[in-house]
Amino acid sequence: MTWQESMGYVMDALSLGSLYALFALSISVVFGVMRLVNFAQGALVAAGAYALAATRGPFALRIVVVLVVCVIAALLMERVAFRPLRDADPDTLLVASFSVSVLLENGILLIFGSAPKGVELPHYFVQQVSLGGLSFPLLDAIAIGLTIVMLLLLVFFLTRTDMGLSIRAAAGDFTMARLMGVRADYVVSIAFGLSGLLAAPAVLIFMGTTGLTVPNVGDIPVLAAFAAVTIGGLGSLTGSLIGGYLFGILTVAFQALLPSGLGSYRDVFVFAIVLALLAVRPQGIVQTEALRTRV
Amino acid sequence: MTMGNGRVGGGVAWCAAIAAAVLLSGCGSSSGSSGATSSKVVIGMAIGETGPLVTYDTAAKDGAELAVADINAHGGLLGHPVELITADTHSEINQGSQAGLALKSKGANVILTSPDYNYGGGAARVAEQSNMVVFSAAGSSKFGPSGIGPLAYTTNYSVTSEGYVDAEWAYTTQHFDKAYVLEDTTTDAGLQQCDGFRSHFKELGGTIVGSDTFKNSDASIATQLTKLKAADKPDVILLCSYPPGGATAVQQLRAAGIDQPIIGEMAFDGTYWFKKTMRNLSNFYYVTPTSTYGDDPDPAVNAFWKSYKAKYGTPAVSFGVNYYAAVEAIAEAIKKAGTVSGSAVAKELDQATGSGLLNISYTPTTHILVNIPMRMMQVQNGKPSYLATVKLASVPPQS
Repeated sequence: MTWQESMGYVMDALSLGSLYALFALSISVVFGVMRLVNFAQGALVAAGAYALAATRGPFALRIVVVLVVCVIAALLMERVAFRPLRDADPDTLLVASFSVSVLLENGILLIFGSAPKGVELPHYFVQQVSLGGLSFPLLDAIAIGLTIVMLLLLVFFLTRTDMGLSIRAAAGDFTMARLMGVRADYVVSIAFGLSGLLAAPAVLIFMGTTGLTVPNVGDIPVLAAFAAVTIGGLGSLTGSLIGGYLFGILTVAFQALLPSGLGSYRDVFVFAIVLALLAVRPQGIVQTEALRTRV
Repeated sequence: MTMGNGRVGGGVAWCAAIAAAVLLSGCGSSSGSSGATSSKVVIGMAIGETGPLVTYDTAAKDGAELAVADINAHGGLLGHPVELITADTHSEINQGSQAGLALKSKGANVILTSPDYNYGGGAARVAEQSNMVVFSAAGSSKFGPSGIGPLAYTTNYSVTSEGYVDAEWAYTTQHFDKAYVLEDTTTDAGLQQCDGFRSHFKELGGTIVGSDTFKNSDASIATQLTKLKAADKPDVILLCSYPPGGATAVQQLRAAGIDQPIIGEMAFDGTYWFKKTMRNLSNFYYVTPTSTYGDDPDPAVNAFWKSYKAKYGTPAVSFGVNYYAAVEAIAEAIKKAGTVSGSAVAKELDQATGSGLLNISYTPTTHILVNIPMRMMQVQNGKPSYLATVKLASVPPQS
């Protein structure tokens, strides 16, 4: 394996890991507060993707549209489907999240039809760049950069703002936070809004890679992100980040290293490692207070 | 054996009598298994009128509708008008049987299903059990005697043969010696096309410089492309896949600066998958049974697409022609058989040679198109067009 090939795989892993990390963070922020494994996250991705496919005009404006659609979809999801079930047990919430997912995806199907929709993006999304003898898609660099920026913004928000502190308090001990005056509806809404906000850049990266969207476009990457969140540690933002990159690295490593006859079984190997990790450390790499209470 | 020895108990005899009565009453009520005794010939379509298959199945229905209109304009079948009815599978595999039974209860004589072995399989099995001929445009030979049964036919081209045509064109016409194969392992079709290509390309003298796999739903194929770049530079890339995942792969190949010719699957026909994202896509090729762009070498095909577009607009997918050809083939066989009875119609279909718009030929064991003249299509500067006709010297071995 040449130096260029090895570095190519490193870039692939970092880029894919960034995508999974963003999705994982988006899932984790809701789980931390509400203990909800939100399977409707895939539909949120689809909503953002179709917003991008349906819009024209300056790209900056379209980014804002995607952000707004993802945030509003997440807030509506919380207000309409999950708030009435706030005191329900986790199983009920899980079934509700499946129902919301099916409802949203079928709504998209009804409006946009089943044929894949092309997503028009600026040329630099499909541009190749060279750096120190290494050639890679500019989108890879955008993905990594965007993840770092989102992560820094998230850390700033959680540590330096009242809203962020409320979320952290609720994630640590929801009941205690409520007793201390943190409004439950407020903090859960913020968590969902944040989830939508984190999903939006992931949608941009994902659409930049695929160029097409279908109603169930978010299902597979979000499924991978769920695995990432689980191995990272449910509800832990650091864990989600680690899990996302680890899942990306495992996927790329098995794709690159498995002999051609076994290549189509890549996911079997990846999930075998996930299972092995969970067998050794069922609480995930980073254990959170939320999970400790849950268990 | 006990029956043969005349030792049938009274209870068993009663059961046999009741079963016979049920069977007889079933035959009487099913117009599918009887001759054309009713006042019309009914073609039932078990398709997704709602759900993800709508785009494909609507095109199928449009094609069948055109054929039925043409047949009725020429006096119908066996002196009866032909009627097309539908039952919604909701684009769900497990709803296929229900849709088939609904069509049977509405008096269908023949059934057409979604263009897929799995989605069409349920209704097809109902047809098979009810002595009705059943057609689809599935790319799998299992939609025939080796799977569904002897009354099942498909008007699609075998994907194994498609791989052979790809190889024939790439090596013989374009003189490409080195090929790289990217295989989408989501469906059997991708594997069969790639197998056919590999087998014939090597047979002709070409070299496969590398192979890799991916899934249609993969978020990225960046790793596969890194591997491809490290391989001995291929003259051509075979992409055994379909949109959306296949389209994503094309976008990523071009974004990675890989500009070699790409040969895709038949499913890449149409412009919807690249017109927004790769407006200037070039050097992309795929085979189809007909060109929908008005430049097909067969004037009858161009006339078909002209009337199709006049009635339904530009097709998103080209299944219309497959279902037009299916109804055409069924009508011809019913006329020859003088009945709509499945076994009699199938006997005629099994002798079809170069029939109708798609030059359909079947044998008692091969109910899929294995060697019709295929159109090699090209996409240059974002515009698809007819490039060449390729017909194999002999029928390739089917996997």
